[in-house]
Amino acid sequence: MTPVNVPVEPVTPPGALRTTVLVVRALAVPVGLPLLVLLTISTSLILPGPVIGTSASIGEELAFARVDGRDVVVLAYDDAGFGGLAGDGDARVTAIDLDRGETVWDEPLPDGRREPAVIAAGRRYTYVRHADGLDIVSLADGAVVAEAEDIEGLGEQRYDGFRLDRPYRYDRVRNTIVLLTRDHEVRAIPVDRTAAVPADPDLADTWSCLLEEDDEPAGTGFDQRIPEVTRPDGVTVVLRRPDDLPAGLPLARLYTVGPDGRGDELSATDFVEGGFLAAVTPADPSRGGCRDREWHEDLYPGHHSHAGTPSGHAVVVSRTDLNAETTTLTVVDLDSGEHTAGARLDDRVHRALPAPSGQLVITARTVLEGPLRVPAITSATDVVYIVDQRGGLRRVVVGEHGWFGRIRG
Amino acid sequence: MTFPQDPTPAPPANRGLLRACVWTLVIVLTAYVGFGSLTLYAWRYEMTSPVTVPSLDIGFGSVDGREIAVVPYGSNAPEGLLGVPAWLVGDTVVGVAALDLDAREELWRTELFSGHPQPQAGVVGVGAELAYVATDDGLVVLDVRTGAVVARPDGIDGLGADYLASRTAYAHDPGARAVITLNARGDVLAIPLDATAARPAGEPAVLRWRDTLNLDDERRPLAAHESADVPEEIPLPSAPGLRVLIDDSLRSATVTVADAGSGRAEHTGRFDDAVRAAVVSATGRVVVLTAKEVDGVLVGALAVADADGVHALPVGDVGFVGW
Repeated sequence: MTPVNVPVEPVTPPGALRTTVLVVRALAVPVGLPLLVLLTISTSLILPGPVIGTSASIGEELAFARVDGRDVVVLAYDDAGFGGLAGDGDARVTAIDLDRGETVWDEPLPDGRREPAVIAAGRRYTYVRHADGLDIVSLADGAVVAEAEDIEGLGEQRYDGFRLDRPYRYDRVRNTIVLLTRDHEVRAIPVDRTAAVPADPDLADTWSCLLEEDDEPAGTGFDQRIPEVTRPDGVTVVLRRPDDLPAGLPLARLYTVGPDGRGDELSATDFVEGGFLAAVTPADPSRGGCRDREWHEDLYPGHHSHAGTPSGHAVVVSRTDLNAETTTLTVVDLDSGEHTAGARLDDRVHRALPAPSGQLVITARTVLEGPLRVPAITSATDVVYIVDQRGGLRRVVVGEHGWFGRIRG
Repeated sequence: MTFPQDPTPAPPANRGLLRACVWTLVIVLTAYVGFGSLTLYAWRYEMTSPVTVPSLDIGFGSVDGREIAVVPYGSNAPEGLLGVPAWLVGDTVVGVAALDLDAREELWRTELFSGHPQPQAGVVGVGAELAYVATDDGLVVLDVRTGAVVARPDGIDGLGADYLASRTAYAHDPGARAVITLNARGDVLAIPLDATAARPAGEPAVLRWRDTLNLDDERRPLAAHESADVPEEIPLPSAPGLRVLIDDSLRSATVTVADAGSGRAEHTGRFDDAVRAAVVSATGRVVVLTAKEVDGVLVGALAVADADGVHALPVGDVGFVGW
């Protein structure tokens, strides 16, 4: 019988090497395992994407201003994305350069603020309404100048109704913030001031019945589409179904309509359920409309015009294609029908607002991909699109949590 | 043949490890099946509506001279043992079953999609070899004999990526013996029955369907109740002199085959849910869409009434642990 298995002595490394191997072996589990756990946790607190997420919701009201000679849009947002080591987010205000799409500043509001919205901006200050009242923020650097609790001339008499953000409105005609006190008295903070003063009878009669209503505002329909727009030269451009397509396909094409009502095709592209993006602005209240009245219906939805630039660019909102669930924004030159830019959204458009400096600002919700394309937990966030006078479209992400969860500002 | 002089191989040193692995596997599988069936049982106990729901748009064809019903159905039941976690996350499945109406058994069953919300499906046409099922994701072509998927929505020649993901973009034109559809450019195309290629439709089909086909998926969802449209009495075309009486109530239904003259009941079948629709098959049977309790579970079923009796054919039934 021949032995089949000859036991072989394992080759043992001599001296120092052997000791090292033994030490490493002994430490592998007690040290390596906690190290692995620590590494996993710290990675999730440092690396943007898997756990650190960007999830901003921009308030529906925004304002335009000038900071250091630059045209900016001022907006406020709730930062709900997990901030990793930088901690959880709160409500923030930011100013974005409309020309270059850069963030001029991005600063937090005092702790605990929710649902912020920028209702007005002047030369020095911007006014941020939120679920607890009103904060006044410096336009130069985003610092909070006066908080809800200690606005001069208000203080103890601050409104204390069911919804604390309801009694703060912007009066465009008089360029002043109007508000209501605890005793239902109308007061005014003229824009670029920080103190509340009693309202004159004219202002009180215009606003007193509009500032206190504990219900939700009636139909704040800021996301509206319109089928036709008028070009600066007076020609009407319409989006309608071409005659040679079946009735069951929701396709629309751009036509110019002459005075005789005949349509000429402007571009051969078919938009699925296409409509022009509209800029909705709340109607101004009628002067003295509140005299002898308790309350009447809310201002919204106000009047809307087409959201375009003075250069003759408009934005068509459509479904990406017939079988898609996503939305596409297309910037079209109304003169040539040319598509100058486009973007795809996974969600919806919130609002479009033309800036006095000529750009068009669109807030919308979409899904962001992480910087390393790792799947994120919270991926839907509100972003800003800026349409410039050349028909370009630029996307600005607000409240983006970068490495360590810090806001990129 | 053994040779005693050969050395016996030494036992493998890691037999203990192997044994441990086998036992672990057995324990894990037992726990999985046990847990699965327990949760399933609890879940079934809670059920008040059918686990599977046949589509209102079913079709009839034949295989080897036997009549079959092609029935798309929605199901929130697990598909097989490994499917148990699927319903835990709330997925619903759309499948197609072929039921042999002569042998009264299921011929095949094919799962098409799973997802939430449930995609809808309906039969648009059945040829001698292929069945055409329109879904919210487009047209799926199946082999009538085996249930194998022959073409997916974008796999139809002449249509390709231009297909429309809508049930209502597909219709059967009996005159042209074809499934008619639109493409994304608005052309009207015909897919002749038993073919998987689309070509431009003829003039009559274009005139009839061009402005009728659409992307409006709201019509007739899979689980729709259309009991208001169900007649109480249908003459049985395959057996003159007999009528099918449908007595419909909220949670039960009785289907009776009765003599038209005397009114005497020849056959009666009781079912455990309301009647959703009643259709007459190609060979003159009356097929009623309802549900039947099988092993304590309510399963969507066809009540097939002919001169031989009233028979229940469960649609997409699942066994104890999802078989």
